[in-house]
Amino acid sequence: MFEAEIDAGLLKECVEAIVAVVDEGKVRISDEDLNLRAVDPSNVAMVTFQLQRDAFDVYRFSNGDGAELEMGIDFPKLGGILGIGGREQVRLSVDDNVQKLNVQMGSLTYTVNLLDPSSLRKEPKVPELEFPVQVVIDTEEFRRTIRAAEKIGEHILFGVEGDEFYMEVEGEMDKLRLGMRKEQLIHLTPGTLHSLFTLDYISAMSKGMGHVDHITLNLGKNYPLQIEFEIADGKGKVSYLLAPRVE
Amino acid sequence: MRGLCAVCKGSRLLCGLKTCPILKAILRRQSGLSNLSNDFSGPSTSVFVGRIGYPEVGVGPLAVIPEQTDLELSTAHPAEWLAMGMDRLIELRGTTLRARKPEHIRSKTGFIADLKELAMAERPTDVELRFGSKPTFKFAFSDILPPTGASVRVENMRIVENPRIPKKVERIVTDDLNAVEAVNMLYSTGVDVYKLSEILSAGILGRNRVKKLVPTRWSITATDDIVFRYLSAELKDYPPLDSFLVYESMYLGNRFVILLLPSLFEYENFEIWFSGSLWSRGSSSTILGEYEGYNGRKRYATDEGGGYYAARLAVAEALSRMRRQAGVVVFREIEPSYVLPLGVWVVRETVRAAFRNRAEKFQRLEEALSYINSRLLSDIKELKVKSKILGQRRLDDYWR
Repeated sequence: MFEAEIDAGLLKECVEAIVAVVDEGKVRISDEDLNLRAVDPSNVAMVTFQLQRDAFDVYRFSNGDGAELEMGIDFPKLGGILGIGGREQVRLSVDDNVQKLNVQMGSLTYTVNLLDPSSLRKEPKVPELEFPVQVVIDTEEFRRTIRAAEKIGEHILFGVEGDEFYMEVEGEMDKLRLGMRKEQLIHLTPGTLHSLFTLDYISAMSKGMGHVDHITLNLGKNYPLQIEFEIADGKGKVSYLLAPRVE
Repeated sequence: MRGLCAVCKGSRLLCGLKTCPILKAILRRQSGLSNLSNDFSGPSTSVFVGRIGYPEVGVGPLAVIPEQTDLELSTAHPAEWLAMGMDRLIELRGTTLRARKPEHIRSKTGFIADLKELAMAERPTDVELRFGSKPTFKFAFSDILPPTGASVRVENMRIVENPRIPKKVERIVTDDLNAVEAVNMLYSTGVDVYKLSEILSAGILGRNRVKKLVPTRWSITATDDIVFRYLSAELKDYPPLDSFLVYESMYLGNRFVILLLPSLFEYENFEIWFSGSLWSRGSSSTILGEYEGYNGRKRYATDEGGGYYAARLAVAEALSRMRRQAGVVVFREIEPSYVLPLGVWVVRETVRAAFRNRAEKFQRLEEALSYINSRLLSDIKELKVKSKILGQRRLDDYWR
């Protein structure tokens, strides 16, 4: 049995963070948190999501054997449902055999059929990665650069040169570069490296960052990119992983 | 201009001129054959709905001049046209006559009712036509439609034999289904996309309130897209391939090399128009690429147009027969010898033909790519960098 109450805006933010990478996935419900790990169909991007129980106003979970419950969710659909309600409280409840999710907003109750978790793709393993460089950047600065980059090309370079972090995109005619020195950033590990990424994935991720004020980028040389940020005043965590392009 | 021509293919006049100068030059060379009288009697093989002036369009039967043609061949499935060279094909299509009458797409005249019968008939149906003037031969070529020999205004049409309409077609079209459902049902009972697009174009499908004629050009690509979506829903339940497969075929200067990768479905189509080929008049070749991921595309594939959809359909048909899904990269190289656009059936049938050939099988991507490099005139390295699929590393490359 699972019952919970949470701020609608916060739940919307969570759904947006996940939908940036996958449309469907298994949310695990445990005594401590809701969590999810899912990879996109092309095996290029992964999202890891966790929301602690104290991010909820009400959180009741009981499962006979103490094991986690698995809930298969169609996230765009859930997002659509939440879009109907305002910024009020949302009450969530799941029946015992985890086939239906009730979403109650004020006097409106929406019942969604859950997806069979066994029909969903298996959860990915977590690769063991080591990132030599870490950059902490203002989210708005990041998002603005990505929006500008979308007008120019399809691939984006993320790199660090000494104590400057840069994002660079080249189109057929134009080129865009954002260079930020250490003092303009919240944090930077100096180094010399870069990796190239497909912009579509990063654009989608930048839309999953909601109202977060800063994000952490973990980088390597011709290596996956990890983007991490906190939600719900630190009571939740989102991490994206994106494989690079061949250069 | 060069890139523009490859994208436009003479259809959208992106250069701003009133007519396509490339097509016009070709037309001039081909015009002026023989003349006919105002009255015509012969088989109607198909119907044609124009797009100019939409929603008031030129509509009518597509007929062949019986004395001048090999009726069997000109009404054969386009798969059989693959055995013909360009000259023979032009000669054959040159005997087709496009009769047209201005009609609104929602018109319910007797003329339209007769056309619907012709569109559903499984065999050519004899008609008598009275033209507004003497038809003169004038070839029409397009990137989407097969060439036609002449176009003339028709005043009257009389169907002189009973059109033979298959029972299953009759049954499905009389149900009040929406057009997508009806296309899917017809396809699953074995009606091929050529007949389907004709039925769709004649305004037979769709809910009763909203039935309308669909310009033939649009109906061809719409049918490719609808049937693909139908197949792809199924496809995504199949397990991925377990190795890399490469298929190949060539027709009239169009070389197709198709790579299937062991992954979930995603699709990429390259068109490489060599310098001096139809839509690439400059000194270097023009490379176009379009991609869609597992969840499909929402926007029209503007750069490649109908060819993208025709190839994608043929690929989905092949995967559906294998009961496997795969990542797909289609390379189409177009040589200067493809001097006339013959319609998008060339793409559909050449890709279908590729899957009738034996595949080369590889265990590693690099092996498959080096084989492909030996089959293409283009450099695979350059294409790999441009490719959404081949240029992208996957997370499982790092799972160790």
